[in-house]
Amino acid sequence: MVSKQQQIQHLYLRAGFGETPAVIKQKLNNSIEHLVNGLFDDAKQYRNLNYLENPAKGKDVSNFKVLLLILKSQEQMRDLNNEWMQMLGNTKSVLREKMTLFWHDHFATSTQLAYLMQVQNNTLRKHALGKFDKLLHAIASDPAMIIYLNNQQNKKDAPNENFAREVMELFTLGEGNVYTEKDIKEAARAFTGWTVNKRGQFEFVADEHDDGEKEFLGVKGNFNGQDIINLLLAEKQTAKYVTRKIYREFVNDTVDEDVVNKLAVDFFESGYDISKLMRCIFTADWFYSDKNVGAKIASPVELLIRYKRLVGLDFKEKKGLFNVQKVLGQVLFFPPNVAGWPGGRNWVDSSTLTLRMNIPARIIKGGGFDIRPKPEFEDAPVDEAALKAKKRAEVISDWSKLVSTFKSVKQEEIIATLIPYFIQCSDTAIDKDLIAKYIDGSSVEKTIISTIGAIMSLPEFQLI
Amino acid sequence: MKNSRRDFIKYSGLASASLFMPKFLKATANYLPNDIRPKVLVVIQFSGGNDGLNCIVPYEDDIYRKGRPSIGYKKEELIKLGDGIGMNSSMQGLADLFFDGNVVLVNGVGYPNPNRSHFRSMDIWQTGSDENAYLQSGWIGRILDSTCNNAQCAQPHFAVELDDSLSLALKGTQMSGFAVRDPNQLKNVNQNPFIDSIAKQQQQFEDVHHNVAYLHKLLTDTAQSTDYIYEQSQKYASTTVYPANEFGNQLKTIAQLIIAETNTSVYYVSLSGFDTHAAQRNQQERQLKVYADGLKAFCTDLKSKGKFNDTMIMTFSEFGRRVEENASNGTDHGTANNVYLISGGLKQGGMINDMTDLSKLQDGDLIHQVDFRSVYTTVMNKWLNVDATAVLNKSFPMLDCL
Repeated sequence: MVSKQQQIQHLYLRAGFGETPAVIKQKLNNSIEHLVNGLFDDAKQYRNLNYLENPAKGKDVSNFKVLLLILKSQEQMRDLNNEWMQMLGNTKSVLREKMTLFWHDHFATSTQLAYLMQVQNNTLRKHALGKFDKLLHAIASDPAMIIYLNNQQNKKDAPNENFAREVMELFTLGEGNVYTEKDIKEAARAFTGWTVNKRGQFEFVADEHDDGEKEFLGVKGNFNGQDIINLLLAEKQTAKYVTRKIYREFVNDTVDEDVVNKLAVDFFESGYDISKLMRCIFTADWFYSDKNVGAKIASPVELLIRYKRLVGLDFKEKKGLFNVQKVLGQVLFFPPNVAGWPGGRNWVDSSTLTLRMNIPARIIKGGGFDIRPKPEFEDAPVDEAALKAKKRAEVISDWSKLVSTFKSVKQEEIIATLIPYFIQCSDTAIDKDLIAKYIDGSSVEKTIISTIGAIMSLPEFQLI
Repeated sequence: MKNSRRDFIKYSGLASASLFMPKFLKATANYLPNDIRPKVLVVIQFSGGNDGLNCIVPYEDDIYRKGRPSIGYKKEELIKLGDGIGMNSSMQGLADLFFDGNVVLVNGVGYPNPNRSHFRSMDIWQTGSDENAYLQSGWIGRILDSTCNNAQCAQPHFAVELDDSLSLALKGTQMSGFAVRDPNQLKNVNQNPFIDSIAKQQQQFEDVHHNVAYLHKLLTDTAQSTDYIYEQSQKYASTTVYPANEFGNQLKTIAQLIIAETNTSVYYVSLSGFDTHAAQRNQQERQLKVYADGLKAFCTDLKSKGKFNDTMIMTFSEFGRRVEENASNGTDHGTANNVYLISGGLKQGGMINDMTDLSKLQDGDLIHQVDFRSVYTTVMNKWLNVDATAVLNKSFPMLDCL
């Protein structure tokens, strides 16, 4: 039986990045429906990432290659990553950001063109809770996506199938569903001439477009790219594939096919209304069932943002936050490939689980993280002297909010009281006597911090 | 003409008959080695795209000479391997092993429709996927998966990466390998008695398919592997002199673990700094020397303890580089490349196939002769005694060198 408190925590962990115990306490008497409405209301107010100006603006851009050189910046990518991480940690519009993160994984793009990645991120955010058809059309003409999947090389005389393949395999129908290799070839022809101009904007070049007849999914016509997308959206399999992926991300890795099929039918009939689908999930009884609450291994970004929201975790240098994402296996704006992050159990292995479980101790002791991420491919050879001189990534944290929330809890009840605020899955395997041994009872403050630290060091804390 | 073609053939017996007519793709189905001594594979990854053409150099080839007026090597700068073929002299250590018959050079290893992005091409090499497919597990990870029987799998230290974090290559679907930068630090890093206590709790979980049970089991396995690798690393202190750099230390660690007869079948280590778009010669030579000097010490160490015949070292990079140098005395991303297989237990050392034909390029890049998964298949079937077809989900012809 899932308690009301854990239901509310479940909602905020899945639709957002978790809330502090103080906030959860305030909401205990509200209905789920009321809280879901609140999440959608908060999603209306949001801001874009406006960190970067277009670096090509006002510059003499002679051709596409020059444009790429001007746009390319590793450092700006790290800054942009930090901007979004900070926004995830601070925003009230948590549902919109969580959906933006989902679409960032679904339409995984990785280029070193920081400004264009910012443009794409804002496009994802704009449509994050809108209509999937609009989102898909916007992504098909998104400059970063076009560059990433080589559509600027897709020309009438030499079609490049990369985008056409992925739009079906990963963005709409799912691998091997409905389409054939022939459909990929025909779709590639329809996207010929969709390119990026010297100002870094989408441009349709009619001379490079093949306007001949194509046969796609059994239909004939002089299709262009938009027609192909509309034909893909007309397939119910698209609604099913996207719904299934949303279910795996927001509900459970293990899919209840009946539930997904029903949701997909509604999603299709609603004209791909993402908000309606999400509202349906968050208000359903099954969403709050035993098997779904605390069933998901938090992604590294979910984990880090949860820490940020609970205890203000941050790093003294921006690079620290970037490196910890790298070592944990998820760096915003750097998905491993167009298929996105594998997720689920793939998030943890022997080294990442150990690092995750050691985070509280490192924050509390204040020693920082001795992490060394793998070098970038472009990096110069490792400098042995610099390696030896390397400092720890020092952390910042603030436990005062948590301390004040729990300062009146009696010493003998502290473990039992605190566990339900941080652990969502079954707590039967938690050895409370063991936790008791590691509590520093020298002051009220230290008692609370060391208890929470121990709870956060449990394998169970990795589950949301 | 003394000491040219004839010597080359002697050193590369494999290629002798087939120098101009490769017949190396001789498939031997269901091969099972008679010898069941535990064998070890050490994978060395060159990150950044190593320029293979300046490692094994066709110095008499006009296309090479014209394409590389500034950074190309001349005959007198190279260690001669044979007619018109020389090895970069920074790799004296590799050359010594080659002349001892302990190296197989495979030329032109790659895959169709090569991708010139570091990330994507490394992804393809590490997962062993087709060039247009996206796999979420690595090829070594899937070897680990193949040990699983009803949620009971090998322990993570079956495959060890010398680093703080695991590469995709060592991540499987059901289990992954073990990452450790320096075993001496294992005791310090895990100085978290609370976590250690949880890991050592004897708990029975009814449903190992649930994530709570899964995380507890992973934690317990990790703690066991941590203790085991630490203990193994203390058993033997190598007296061989290794180069005083990180790569040398990593190889020394691996040698000590192998000599201590650690129950690890695959070791994985990376050397970066090969993305030589500018001023290539200095940078690449420096890295090749780090590699070859470390390698030489490693093999000497293993040989002195009778372990070299049971250890295979495979060196690869995510791609080679363009034939033509660029305007910055460097080279840009290319395609097919050499793979080196090094062991005391080779059937025969030498160059297994022709140098890639520079007169037949595609968009200025080498066309691959050997699918990289043929190399993996050979190593899995004939060295590790693993069913490569199950791991790669496809069968590839094997190289005739083990």
